[in-house]
Amino acid sequence: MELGRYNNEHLHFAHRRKVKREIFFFVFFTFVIGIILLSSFYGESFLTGKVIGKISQEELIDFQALLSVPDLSLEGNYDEVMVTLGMGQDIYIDNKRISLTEFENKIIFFNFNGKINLNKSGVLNLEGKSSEIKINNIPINSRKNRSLKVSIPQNPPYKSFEIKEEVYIKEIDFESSGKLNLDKDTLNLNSERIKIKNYQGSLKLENSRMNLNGKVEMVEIHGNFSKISLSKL
Amino acid sequence: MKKRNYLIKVRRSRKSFLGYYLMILIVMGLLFHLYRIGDNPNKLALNSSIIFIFLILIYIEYTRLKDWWAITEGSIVQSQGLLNKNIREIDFSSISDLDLDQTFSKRILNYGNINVRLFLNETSIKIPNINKPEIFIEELQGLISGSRRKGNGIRKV
Repeated sequence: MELGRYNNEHLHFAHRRKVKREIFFFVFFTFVIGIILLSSFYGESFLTGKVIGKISQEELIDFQALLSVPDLSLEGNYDEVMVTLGMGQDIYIDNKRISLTEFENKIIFFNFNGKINLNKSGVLNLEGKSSEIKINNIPINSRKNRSLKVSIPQNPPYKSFEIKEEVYIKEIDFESSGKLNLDKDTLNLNSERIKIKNYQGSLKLENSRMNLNGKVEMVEIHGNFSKISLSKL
Repeated sequence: MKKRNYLIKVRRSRKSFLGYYLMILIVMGLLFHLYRIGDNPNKLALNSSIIFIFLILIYIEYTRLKDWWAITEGSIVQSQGLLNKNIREIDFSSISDLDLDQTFSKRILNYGNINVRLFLNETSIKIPNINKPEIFIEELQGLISGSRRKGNGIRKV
C-alpha cells in the first residue's frame, strides 16, 4: 500500500515537473516572439533608446559647438534626417536604385531607424528603414504602409547633414579646432583633443564644420600642456 | 544484465513533441518573413531565437533518448536515464494486464501510452507516447500468451 502511495506521489511530482518544463518553454517562446516583434518595430535602438531617459537633465550643461568634423557613427531612431547630396549620386530605396540628377538634392528621411556613418573626409554611409522619404520635396511612401528599406552605400560626399534635437552621442573623442560654448563659458580650440560625453541635442554638418546645439554631461579638453574637464558636478 | 537481442525496442515518438516543433516553426517562420520584407531583427532577437531553438531540440532529443522499453522472449525491459541508468526487467509472469491510452489527437497521429500492470498492483510500467501502440500491444500480448502456454508463466507447486 505504502509502495503504491509512493508510486502515485512520484508520478504526481513527475507530472508537475513536466508541467513546469512546459510552462518554462512557453514563457521563453513568448519572450522570443516579443523580442522579434519589438525589434522589427523599433529596430536596434528599442533597448538603447531608453539610455537618454536615464541621464538626469540636472546633470547636463548647455552646450553649443562649431568644430571640425570627426568620424561619427550614429545608430537609432530619428524623426527627421536631412541630407543634401550632389549630382550623380545614388540612393537605394527597397533595393531599387534612384540616381540623383539635380545639382543639389535635398533628401529627408522621416522616422529613420538605422545606422549612419559620417567620415571626417566628408563622406556618408547610411542604412536603415524609413516610413517616408522626400527627395527634392517629392514624397516616396510604401504602398503597403510599411517601412522602406533605405541605403546610401557608396560613401558619397555630402553637402550637408542634419538631425534636429534627438541625437545622442555617448562619447566622442577627437582632435578638433573650433569654438564651443559651455553654459556661460566660451572656449576656442586649436587642433586640441576634445572628449564629449553624453551629448543630447541637434547635429548639423556643413562646409566641413560640425554644429552641435544641446546639452552635455562632460567635456574634456586636452591641450599641449594642460587638461580641462568641465561638467555640472 | 546481459546484453541481448530485443524483439522490439521503442522510444518516445517525436509526434508527442509536436507542440515544441510548432514553436520552432513559428519562430523560424517569423524570422524568415521579417528578413524577406527587409525588417531585419536585431542581434538580441536573433540570438534569443537561436538559443531557444537549440534548447528545445536538445530537450526533445534528451527526453527521447533517455528512456527506452524493449520486449524480449520472456520479459519487458525498461531503461531510464542517460547518464545514470536505471534498468528494470519484468518477467511476463508478473504482468497482470495491459491497457492502451490514446486521446483523439493521439489516435489520429497513431501514437499513445501503454500501461503494463503487474500482479503486485503497486508498481506499473508506463510506456508513454510510442508509435503504433496497438501493434506493440498485440506483439506483447502474443508473446505473453505464448509464454504462458509453454508453462513459463505458471510455477508448479
